[in-house]
Amino acid sequence: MITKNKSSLFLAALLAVTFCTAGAAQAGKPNIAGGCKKCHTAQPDAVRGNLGNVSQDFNTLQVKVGEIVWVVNYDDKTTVVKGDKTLTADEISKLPAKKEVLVSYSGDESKPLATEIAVKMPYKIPERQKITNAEVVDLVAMGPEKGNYTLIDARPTGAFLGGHIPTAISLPYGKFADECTTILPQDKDRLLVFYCGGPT
Amino acid sequence: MSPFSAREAEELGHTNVKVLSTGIPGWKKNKGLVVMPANGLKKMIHEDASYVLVDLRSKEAATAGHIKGAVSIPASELAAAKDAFPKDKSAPVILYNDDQASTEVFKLVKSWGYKNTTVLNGGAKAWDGKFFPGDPGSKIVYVKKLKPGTISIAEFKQIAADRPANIIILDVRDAGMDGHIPGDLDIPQEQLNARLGEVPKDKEIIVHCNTGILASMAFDTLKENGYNARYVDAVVQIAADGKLEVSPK
Repeated sequence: MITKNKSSLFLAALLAVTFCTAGAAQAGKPNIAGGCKKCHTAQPDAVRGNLGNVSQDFNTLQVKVGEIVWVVNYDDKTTVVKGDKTLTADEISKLPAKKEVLVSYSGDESKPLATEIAVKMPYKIPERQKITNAEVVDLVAMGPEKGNYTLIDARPTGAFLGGHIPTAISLPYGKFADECTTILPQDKDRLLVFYCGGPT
Repeated sequence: MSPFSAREAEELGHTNVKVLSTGIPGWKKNKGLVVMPANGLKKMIHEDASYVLVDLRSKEAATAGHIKGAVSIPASELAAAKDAFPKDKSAPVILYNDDQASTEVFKLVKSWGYKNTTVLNGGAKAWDGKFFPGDPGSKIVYVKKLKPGTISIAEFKQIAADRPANIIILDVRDAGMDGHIPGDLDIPQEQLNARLGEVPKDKEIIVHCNTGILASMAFDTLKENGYNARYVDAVVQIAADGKLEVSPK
């Protein structure tokens, strides 16, 4: 126990030095969420993560990066970029919770001011891969045997354990390479339907 | 993530690959049944999580053996039991019957606003965990558990407003912050070890910072030194005029 306490204290101290002390901006607190790293790399003067609470009283927005949360100020010059559209700061409070955002800021990371909030646009799914919710409802009603399908939940294990679409099996994207051979059907022509915490 | 999985499956030679792009949110929006895998419920039981587990079988069946933490509300009495459900609509509600609970009962509970409703996959028949004998009763008790050492946002706001004499609010943010809760004690987290003498031992200490990180570290320090303390694991914002806003992370 004593060893454990010491190591957790050490970790806490390390965390404090790494990203919590004022003026230690160069040390940097994490500015990119784990899930974003699949396609993006960290950028200076920007934080990439999931949108949290927006306070209109304080003109701040939260950006969650894993367990860490950034509180970023915004003002009426802050812009919201959705694809090829640039919108005003009024849009900030209308963004959905947990939306993936890239917030560019000016100033020190201890008191960042958002200059631009870029919102993740839906991933373009090739036409051949599209399937509707209604079609999946019909498949699920038939069941995997009769419907001749395999429904795959690509979310992390914890999300699957919290509840999933009936008849789905779990194959988290992060474990795809390790587990695909045991989980995916042998028959390469069988219908595979993937879903996740989308909309993607 | 699913489009990437789909792409990789195609690379492996699968020829009939689809992506339900609206995902779980779209499924829920269309009132689709959501099932809880047995391992998910076992995990909640193991972690002693807060949940509402409803045994929809007969009283006799539930008394003969029910899943840990369940209450007995036979399916025919469910509609009348609406008011027994918790005020907190974010509570996870898990329903089970002999077989997998029906879409009708699932939709009924969902229609009351419980967005995290699920049915146990396969029902009691498929449950490979333990059954406990005895009458589980029908009274739902749901208390959302807090992370160890933390204080709820509501209680913290109340304390900040009332400032009872037996409680000290300790602000461990770096020096030079705009606003403060009147009557608080300000010691930046990095100085706390050196300045512990300033923190009274005979009072409960409620620690806060901006985002809960420094506060959790200060909480560890206080605990190590025998203090009675809790911390705020939320985003705390205080304007120069003392206006306080506390929001969940």
